[in-house]
Amino acid sequence: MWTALASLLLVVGSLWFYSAPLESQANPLVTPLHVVAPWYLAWSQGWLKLADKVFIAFIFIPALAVAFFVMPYIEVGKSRRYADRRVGLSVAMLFIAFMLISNWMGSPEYRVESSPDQEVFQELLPQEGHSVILSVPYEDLEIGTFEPGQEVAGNPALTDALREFEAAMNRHSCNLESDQWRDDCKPITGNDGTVTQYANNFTKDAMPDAEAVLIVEPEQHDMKRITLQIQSESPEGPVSTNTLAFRHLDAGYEED
Amino acid sequence: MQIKVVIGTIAFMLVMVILGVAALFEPARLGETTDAFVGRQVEKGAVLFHENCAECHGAEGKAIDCVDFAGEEKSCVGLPLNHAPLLCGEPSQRLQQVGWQSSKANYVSQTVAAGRPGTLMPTWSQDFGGPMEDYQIDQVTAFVLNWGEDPELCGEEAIVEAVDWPDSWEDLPQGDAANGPGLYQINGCAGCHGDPDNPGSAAVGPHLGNIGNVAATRVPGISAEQYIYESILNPNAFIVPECPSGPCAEPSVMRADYGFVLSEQDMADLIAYYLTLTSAP
Ligand code: HEC
Ligand code: HEC
Repeated sequence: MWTALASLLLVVGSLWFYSAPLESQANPLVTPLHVVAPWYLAWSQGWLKLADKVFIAFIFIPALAVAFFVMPYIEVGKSRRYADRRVGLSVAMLFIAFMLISNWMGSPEYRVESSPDQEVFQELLPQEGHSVILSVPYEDLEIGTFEPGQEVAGNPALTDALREFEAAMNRHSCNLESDQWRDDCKPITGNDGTVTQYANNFTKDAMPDAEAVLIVEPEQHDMKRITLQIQSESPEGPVSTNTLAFRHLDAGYEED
Repeated sequence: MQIKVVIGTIAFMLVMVILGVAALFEPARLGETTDAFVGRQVEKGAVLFHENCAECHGAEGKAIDCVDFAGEEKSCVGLPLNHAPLLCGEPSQRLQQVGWQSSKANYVSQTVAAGRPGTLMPTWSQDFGGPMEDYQIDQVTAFVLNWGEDPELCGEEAIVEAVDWPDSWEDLPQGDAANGPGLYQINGCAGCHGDPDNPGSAAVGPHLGNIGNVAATRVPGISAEQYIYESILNPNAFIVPECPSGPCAEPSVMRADYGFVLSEQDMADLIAYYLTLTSAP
């Protein structure tokens, strides 16, 4: 019975609850923007934020491995009772707690942020996986220039994507002049007292007075070119960045 | 005990049913995944093209409007790639011109991989000391070939327009019928139209042994020369009623890209030659 039930579970699970989306080929010359370690190594990602990377990777982790090897020679007591091995078990408990926190620190939520415009690009057009913009059906990705939050008549899919665009922009930008719908800019000053960057309620590095557009143009037969353009103020003056993506009719992002 | 056997049996049967249903849908799913893979190849190729190639071949691949990395205009040193003679037909006009024996995809990918020594076309594949992995060569090749999917570039009407053929055969150079049989062989006409001296030899297209007489009667008001000229340039201009295996199919199965393959002189020679074919019915 258990064998049959387990097979049923595995078959159903792999058919309907597990998908392996198409990803890019691995290329040692291309480093993704956010490198995410597999879950079972998240703790080591967390540690990298605690101290110097070289120290962690080349001294601390190997030292820990050695510690595990010598442990049985230090901890030689025969009894397993807590009363008989207070130190050992306490250290073990502390270590487990430390590992839990490390894993949590290593989770993608606490990753090192890149610049806010790149974060917006990454949120809307990630290099791998589900993209808010690419998953708009090909026909609904109308040719034109659109603003974040714009309502496109008769096109709920694109309107939804533009709403996500607006949300992403709001997370990563702030207003120099007070405004209801976007956080005010909180200046962060450097050692010499000049403003180096601005923060908002979500992030320490926000784009002041950012304006963005999504441009969809024909590129080739059955393929459209998508440009995301962000303009913002900065302590050094206005800056403009953009990113380019393509959407082919057959690419099937609706499935991802 | 009993209940366990029942549950086990039901679960087992469910697994079988689900697998059977899944197997039914599997070919369609695989087909979609393959299409999606090809579509994404083209997308990734587009990124590579704009990053690496547009500088010399133009953003639209037409070898016009080139800008360097600083955004300054510069002259385009590359050849046009979004170009009917390169992309339309298999083999395309360009492949015939250089005598390429393999496929168009190979022509593009090998040119990209190895570059063109002695020209400005750089080497791209890591196999030849360039910066790209083989799969990236495939992606940018898929992108270049995708221009050829555009009916405006390679559609039948577009082909006739792409090369500037005169409207009337009279504007062609003087034809020499003696070159006709050679051109007839080289361009594969015989494969479909057979041996002009042997009426039974035509396999796909109408036998042309009597075309010199027939051509004048096909379309009222159009001379024999003009009829042959248009039949070769644009096979769909007029569909012949009878082919060896029944009525001729529409659209015509005759190759629509001879406008690329033939020179004006070739065309004039073929017309002159066909006018001499008046023997067999
Ligand atoms: C530095 C300028 C330059 C760059 C960059 C460049 N090319 Fe070229 N390419 C050329 C030149 C010049 C030729 C013509 C070579 C010749 O004369 O045979 C050429 C020829 C070609 C051809 C053959 C065309 C034909 O009709 O025979 C292909 C295909 C091609 N390039 C693709 C690419 C691709 C794809 C890239 C980007 C990965 C690229 N090229 C980048 C300069 C360039
Ligand atoms: C793939 C097979 C194929 C090839 C190759 C081919 N033809 Fe045809 N051809 C046809 C078919 C089928 C027709 C009849 C349908 C139509 O009118 O387009 C035809 C019609 C014609 C006609 C009109 C004949 C008539 O009786 O009215 C001419 C002229 C002609 N071809 C010339 C040529 C020449 C010249 C070549 C080589 C340069 C050539 N064809 C190559 C299949 C072919």
